[in-house]
Amino acid sequence: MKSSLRNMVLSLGGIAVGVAALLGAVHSLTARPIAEAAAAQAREAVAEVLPPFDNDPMAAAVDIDGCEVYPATMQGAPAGAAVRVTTMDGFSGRIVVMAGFDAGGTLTGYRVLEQAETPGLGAQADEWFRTAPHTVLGTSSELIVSKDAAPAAAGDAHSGAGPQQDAGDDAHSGASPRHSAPATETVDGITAATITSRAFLGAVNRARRAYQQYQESCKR
Amino acid sequence: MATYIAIIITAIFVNNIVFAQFLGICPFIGVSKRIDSALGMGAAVTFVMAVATCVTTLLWQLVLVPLGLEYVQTIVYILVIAILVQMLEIVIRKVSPALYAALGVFLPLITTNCAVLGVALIVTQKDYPLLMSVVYAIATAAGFTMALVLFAGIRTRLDITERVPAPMRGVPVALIVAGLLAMAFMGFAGMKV
Amino acid sequence: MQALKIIYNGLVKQNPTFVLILGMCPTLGTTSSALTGMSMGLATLFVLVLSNAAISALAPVVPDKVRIPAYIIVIASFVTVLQMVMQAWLPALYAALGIFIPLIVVNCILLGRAESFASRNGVWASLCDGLGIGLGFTLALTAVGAVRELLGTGAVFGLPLYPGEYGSLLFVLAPGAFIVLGLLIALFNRLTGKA
Repeated sequence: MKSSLRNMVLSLGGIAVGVAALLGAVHSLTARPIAEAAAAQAREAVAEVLPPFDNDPMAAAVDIDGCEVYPATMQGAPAGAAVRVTTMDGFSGRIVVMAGFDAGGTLTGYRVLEQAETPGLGAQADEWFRTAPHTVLGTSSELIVSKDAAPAAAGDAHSGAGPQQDAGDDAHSGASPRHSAPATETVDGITAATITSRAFLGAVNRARRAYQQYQESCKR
Repeated sequence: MATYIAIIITAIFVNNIVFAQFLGICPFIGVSKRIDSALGMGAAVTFVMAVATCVTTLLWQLVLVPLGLEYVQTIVYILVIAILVQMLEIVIRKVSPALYAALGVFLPLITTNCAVLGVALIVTQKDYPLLMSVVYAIATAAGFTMALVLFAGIRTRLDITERVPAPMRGVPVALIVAGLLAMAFMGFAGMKV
Repeated sequence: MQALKIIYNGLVKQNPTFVLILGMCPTLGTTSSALTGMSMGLATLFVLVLSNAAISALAPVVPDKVRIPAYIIVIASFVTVLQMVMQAWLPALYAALGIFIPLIVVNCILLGRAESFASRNGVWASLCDGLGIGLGFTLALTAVGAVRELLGTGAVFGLPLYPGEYGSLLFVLAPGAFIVLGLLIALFNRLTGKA
């Protein structure tokens, strides 16, 4: 068809109006399912990592030290909390972990919500740390990759991992060994993915500290 | 400052747009037969990517988010890129015929270069502020240009040899060479800057 | 009959990946497993069928000079529809395919088919063309994904065929994508007797 200013404006305008109507219609149809899908995903993750509870942890969310803490209660009594934590220490990009703790601070479950680690290696984190020889479930102390633990036996390099320190590799660079340092537990990292393992365990440690801070703030 | 250096190094080497993120493959395969055309394409992409990322970031922060129109992101971004490319073509032709002679042929190809739209979407996703977005775009384009030039250098030699089996000639062998280059670039993976 | 011929044409004779060498980015970026490759192919098929049909209907009333912008708007709006639908009902898949869903807009296959087929043929024929090319693309992506998954993890569609420890992770990673695609195109050339 021959182009003239009039038919060009008319045809593009017509298409724009049609497209706007289509997108508006689809948006109004999908807006609610999209919001619901996102909320359902988060709720599902919280429910999966926590022991039984009967409140809505998402509604009581608190932000502590960059972590989202979702406290759970059972018949009014505290039943632990799910903590959403983000770390940039991974092999490629950020890792988002949801970790669940019971009232005593024991890790009851975790889920890797977001990661871009190497497929087949670091990407196994979601499975690896639940399976028997290297599970982190049921632990309640600071976790370190067993590879990093070797020098700890010789010196006292690890005991400085205090709550103020950032998670990950820096966690064992603390200077002042003190008797109040938290107990540590070694975990076998993913084979050939030490960086991911450190980042993951660091994230869980940070989540635990955030939860402990939350518990202390409740006592006050 | 350190953040910016980290972003630049990561965008060029660690997360190279061609070898690690698989964006901009079409021009990578299509326009990399000679080194000078690879350089021309690289320059044109750098220019468009920087301007397009700047405009889309501003639009996102000042128009789409305040109006709650996040869902039309894709359509707005591609229109911005298409309009920009068209405008650049007209402006360059009027202002600098020499530059037009060098870049002109590549400009229309850039609208459908997924690297440009890809970078605009990535910086929005990462929520970078304006300056950081533009720096990221320029660094990514530098990585793209480097990949293109490296590859062109290899391909000019590949064309001379007659040892390549008939079904492998052209694109297949080029892809395998790209695979070897990608393997070399994996050496940068996980590098902490 | 005519419809079958057009579909066959898109599936084999003008296979977008193996013959036309178009849409390389998703072919490399989303095929780390057969399932993600197939999903990406189907997502592209969805947009391609709709945009082909819409463009062939609009083509008679769109002036030549604004043809390309008009097509881009049509394609981009169907991609946006796809994004919203996937976010609402297939959020996990949407997250897995990530940036490659909005990037369907700049997939050369779509604009290419709009220009070379949909703008010159009727709605029904264009629909069939979209279906054929889309299926050809899906088939190619599934094949690349299946080969990479098999060599990398010992499984296809998650179904283990040999122990994963014997797989070479390289094929799941970036270099494997290039190498497998290169070899598959060479194989296709050999089988169809081209070159």
